Amino acid sequence: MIFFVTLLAFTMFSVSIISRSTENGLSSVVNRLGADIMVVPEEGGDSVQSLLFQGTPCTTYFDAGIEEKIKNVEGVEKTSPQLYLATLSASCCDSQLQLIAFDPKTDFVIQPWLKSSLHNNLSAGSVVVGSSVNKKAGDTITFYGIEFKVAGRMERTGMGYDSSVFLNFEDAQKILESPNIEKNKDLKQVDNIISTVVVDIGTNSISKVSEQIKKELSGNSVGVYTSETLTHSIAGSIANFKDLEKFTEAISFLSAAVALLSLFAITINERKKEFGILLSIGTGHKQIFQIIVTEATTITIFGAILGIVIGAITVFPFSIVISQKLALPYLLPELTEIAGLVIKILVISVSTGICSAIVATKRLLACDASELVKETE
Amino acid sequence: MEKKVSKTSIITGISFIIYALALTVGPNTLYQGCAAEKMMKCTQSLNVLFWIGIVLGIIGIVNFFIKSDIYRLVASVVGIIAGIFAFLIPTVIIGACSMATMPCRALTFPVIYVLSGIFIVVTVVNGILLLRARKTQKDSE
Repeated sequence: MIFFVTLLAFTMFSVSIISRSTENGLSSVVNRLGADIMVVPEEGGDSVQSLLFQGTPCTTYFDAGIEEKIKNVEGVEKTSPQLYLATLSASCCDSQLQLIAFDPKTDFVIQPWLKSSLHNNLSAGSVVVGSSVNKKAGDTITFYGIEFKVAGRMERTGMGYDSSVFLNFEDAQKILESPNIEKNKDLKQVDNIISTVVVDIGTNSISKVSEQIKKELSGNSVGVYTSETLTHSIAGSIANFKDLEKFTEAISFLSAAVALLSLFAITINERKKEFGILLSIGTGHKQIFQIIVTEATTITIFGAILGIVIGAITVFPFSIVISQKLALPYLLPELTEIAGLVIKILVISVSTGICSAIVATKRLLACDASELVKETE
Repeated sequence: MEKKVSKTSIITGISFIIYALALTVGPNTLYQGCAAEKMMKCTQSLNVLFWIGIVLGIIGIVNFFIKSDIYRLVASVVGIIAGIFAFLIPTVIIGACSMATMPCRALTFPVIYVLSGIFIVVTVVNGILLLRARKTQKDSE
């Protein structure tokens, strides 16, 4: 019995945590994107998506003059350029990081949430690192032979920004002018380049403005993405996870209910003589009922807690591996949400156990004490 | 009394051997660490854990040839200390890669932490059972 309750709790807990983590990751992406429209190099579209969702570093660029063309499109209220450069490998780390440069004068996407880590604007010579980079404020970090001061470290976002480093365009220009930039084989041009233009359209129609931008830039090899089109593919996968969560919950619950009902019926049947003797010496029906329900409650609480602990050991230490295998943004739920889930699973498990015990007990107590003792002789 | 002692003997031996395999074979097969292009902190940590695993494996195998409870009690203490070191070596004493997404931090060491936690719990319980068995034996004498 404990096994089935443990299995129910484990399945519900792990699937729910994974599903909610992917949902949180998607919300994080949508919130952090901040822009209504993103214009990226056509061949860099997949790389940018990989960067945003999985943190795969990329170097992609087009001519900075494209931003001027976008500004002239009707419906465009604000634009700001960003530059994406993959590092060779940072001195602190043994893997590539993503450098994301932004223009402090025009940016409206990155600075609002950088301020929560910094409380001030990012000064020249300073960078802000993502949560996966093991540096803290006051440390130094070197890219392409140039040393920068770490001004702060972001909280976990569950998206590619966790393995990114943010700096302003002035510092990015220093990197582009450094001799070590030649080691980046993806970079064929260093003058006047940007990787994306983020666009704010205010209250204008997204579809209309994005069509206008595509028309204006039809001679250039660019991709125009809205936050919806950018997240469309992963939103579908995450919706599938949500369905899987509900389906798994339903199947686990039904299987556990059927199993517990059968097992309680078998167990009580095996103990008919015991209960018959108890009834014949004057133990009331209510007391018998209390004994069985208390046993059911104890077994299901123990089984549920065991299942939740095993589920927690499976999903929490390995959250990074899970997110890498799923290739989706992944942000673990807050403690309060996890606590709510634990309570929900405990309530479902205990109720299932108690209901199964009640059904089995009713049949038992319908019999006479002498019948119970006689049947087993 | 003989039955109880031999049960704890089996638990000691098997748990030590399984944990030894987890520290020696596992990081080179099922949950591989980072590709060792140069001597990195995680490689150093895994090398130390490898030798700890070898020692624990020897303790586990020798356990089947020794009938002494004292040996198993001492082995339990050694096992618990080894388990604690398995947590401390990659986190504090030597360290691992800085990036949380590197294979050593994402998979290898989390597996070792989980298995170390289970091993410590099993060893503590086994140690308690051993002490109880010795106490019962002494009382009956």
